[in-house]
Amino acid sequence: MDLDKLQVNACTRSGWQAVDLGFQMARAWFRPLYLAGVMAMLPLTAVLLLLFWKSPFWALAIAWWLKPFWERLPLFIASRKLFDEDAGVWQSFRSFPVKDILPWLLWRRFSMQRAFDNPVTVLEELRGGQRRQRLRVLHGKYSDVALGNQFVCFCFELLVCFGIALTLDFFTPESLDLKVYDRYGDLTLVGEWMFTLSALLAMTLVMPFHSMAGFALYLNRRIELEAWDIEISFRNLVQRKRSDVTRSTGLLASVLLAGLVGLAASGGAEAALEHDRSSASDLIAEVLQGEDYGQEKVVRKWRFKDWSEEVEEESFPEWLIEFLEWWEQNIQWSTDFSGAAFWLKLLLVLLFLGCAGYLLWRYRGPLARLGGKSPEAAVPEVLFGLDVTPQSLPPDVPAQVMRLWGEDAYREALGLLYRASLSRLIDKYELAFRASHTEAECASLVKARGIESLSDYFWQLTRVWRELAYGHRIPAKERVQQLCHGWSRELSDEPH
Amino acid sequence: MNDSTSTTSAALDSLRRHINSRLIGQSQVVDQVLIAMLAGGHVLIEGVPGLGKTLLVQALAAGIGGKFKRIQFTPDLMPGDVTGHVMFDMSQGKFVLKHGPVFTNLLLADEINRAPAKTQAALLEVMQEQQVTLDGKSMEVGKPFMVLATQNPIEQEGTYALPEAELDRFIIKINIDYPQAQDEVLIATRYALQSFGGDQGDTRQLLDVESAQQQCAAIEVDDKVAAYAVDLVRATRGSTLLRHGAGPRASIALLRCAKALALINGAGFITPDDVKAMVLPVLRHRVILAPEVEIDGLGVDQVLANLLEKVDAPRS
Repeated sequence: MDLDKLQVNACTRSGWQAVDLGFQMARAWFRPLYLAGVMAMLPLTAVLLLLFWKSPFWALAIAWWLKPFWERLPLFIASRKLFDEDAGVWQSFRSFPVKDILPWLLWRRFSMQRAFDNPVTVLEELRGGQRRQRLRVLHGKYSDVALGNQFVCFCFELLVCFGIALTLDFFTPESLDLKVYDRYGDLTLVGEWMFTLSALLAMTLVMPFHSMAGFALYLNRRIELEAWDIEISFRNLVQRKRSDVTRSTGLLASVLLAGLVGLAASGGAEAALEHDRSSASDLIAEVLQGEDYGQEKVVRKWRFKDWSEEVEEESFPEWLIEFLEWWEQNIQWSTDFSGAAFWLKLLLVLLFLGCAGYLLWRYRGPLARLGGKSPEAAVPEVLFGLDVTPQSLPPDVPAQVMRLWGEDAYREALGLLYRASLSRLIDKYELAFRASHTEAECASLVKARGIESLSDYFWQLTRVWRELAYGHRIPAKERVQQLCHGWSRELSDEPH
Repeated sequence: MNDSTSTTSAALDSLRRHINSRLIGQSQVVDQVLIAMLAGGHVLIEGVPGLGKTLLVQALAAGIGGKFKRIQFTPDLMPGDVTGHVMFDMSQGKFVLKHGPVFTNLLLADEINRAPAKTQAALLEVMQEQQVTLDGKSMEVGKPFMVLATQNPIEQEGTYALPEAELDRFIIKINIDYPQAQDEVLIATRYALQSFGGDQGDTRQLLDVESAQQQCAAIEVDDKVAAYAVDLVRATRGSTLLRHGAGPRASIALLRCAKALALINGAGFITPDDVKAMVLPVLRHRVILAPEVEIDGLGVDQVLANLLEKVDAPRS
């Protein structure tokens, strides 16, 4: 890394100014960045589109998921361009940075500061603890801007995508009859393709801007942390000094030709430069021991809390560390179960039992269904406002029905027969009637049971019951007797 | 079942067979149109063009011995084009009355949502009042009078959606879909060599509609069944799945349609099954889904079916 060749002005910027710089970089290196982006995306995306040509949304989803992969090549090229290196696209493509890609496609895929963090992986090639430490330092500032950059670019991408899709839709001549939507307003295959291609195009268009903005934020942070601007200023100073010396030498040479005065001056300058080099360390030590340095002063003032400083990646909570330290210092470990280990074990067991209990309670419904009987299939006691338990029925249902009929309690008589039938169907055949089921629906459930004689009987009973209950038509006594016989035959427990 | 009910039921059955013989593969639609006619209501049919809606109305008009007219609704259709108007006849030197197409028995209002609200309102007024006021005189339209309005679910550009209050005037809404494959083969083979509607078939009057409507009104309704119908309608008002529930007019429509269904089935009374069977066609255009339910992709029919499961059926 040769800071002398840095192509951007190394000065400290605010976060959003850095994002602006990133967008400027994306515009300046437009051609190689887009070419790199397209070269990275095109082959695999084309294969995906061919594979999923009937449902291109899948190809789009996979291409979207692989974004961290696509962004690497443009970033690699930009890092070379930044130091004025000739990074050919083909050459860069051959050295495609693929290290540590898997985490970026798994748990880091949902990182909201991807563009900001990417250079640490791709350019510095740091991994594990080193990477975490580096990120902790970098995230001390601008992580909120990185988040904003991601959000803005996401919105912009959506806007471009829908813009392209709608433009295509609006400007497609009706005579083509592409049928983007079906009759229910859903996208057809043509519509899906149109949307997928628009989304891929939008992704390609926005990707370099997003990457470069994150890269510029990263640069800005490094300029701050490593004082690149000061280093470059010093280098420029030395350069200027050297050129001054060269210029003086030339001048003195010309003067020598004319006289003798300049020779002394030239020799003096060289000697001064040599003197500076040899005594620099002594001079620095002397300055540091002076009055202006070596003093400590405590200044207290209010300032806004920087929340980003507190966010440490993959760190243990402070309270847990303190608890464990306390535990180690205050609890006597022993080999038997009477000491701390026993209590810790007990705590864990209780915690486990608590979790298990909560899960059992939380998912009691599905577990009950797994056990065989669903809650709906459980035998109900009251259905349709009727007591359908076997205990509520008289010992001899047909006899009771005919007794009620003899007392001119027609509705009660048939009601009892119908209720008894439902009760037996629930109890004996485990039919899952619901309160919302009408009589015909109950009869359909009985029919679905596949016992023809039972189904026929229940249909007859239902018909007679409905005529009485809703049509207020009293059936003939013989009909009721037939139904009672039928009940004994089909639904009674006693042998017939 | 008394004699008159069975006679009417038999006449309805022959009318149904007559229409089904001409309109193939849409027996459910035919039944629902007959129900609406017996209940004295109007029908809103939603479906793509070319499913035989005109044929259905022609066959029905022939079966009941009534007149049939059709209006194709367009954005420039004026109320006068529907109801009629008074114009000055130069040859006679006086104002003469020109009756509009509403003076008929069966009116097919094709693509009603293509006309502006003013024209729609003119037709809806006739539907409600069964009369037209022209030149200060009120004139009754034909008896029986029934409007079969159609809507196209696709191509919504340039349409004027019917407001909820106006949708409520239609007693049922029928969703007409493509016929089954074997029915479509039959349609294709039958009509390949003749034009649609070319063969009028049996043109005898098969049903006296006014008499059937009177019998329908006389169908017995038990208090518990009426309460069940009201419970079903009221359930739409308390549901979080619906932004707007059905009004009391829906309860009336539900019971009237259930009566018509009972008559078609030859019964002299209605059962909870009749009510339940009519819930979807009667309520589907009277409720509005909650936005989040629409986002979830649920349809009105699914939500209503869900509500049906939550209302207890009467039993004792």
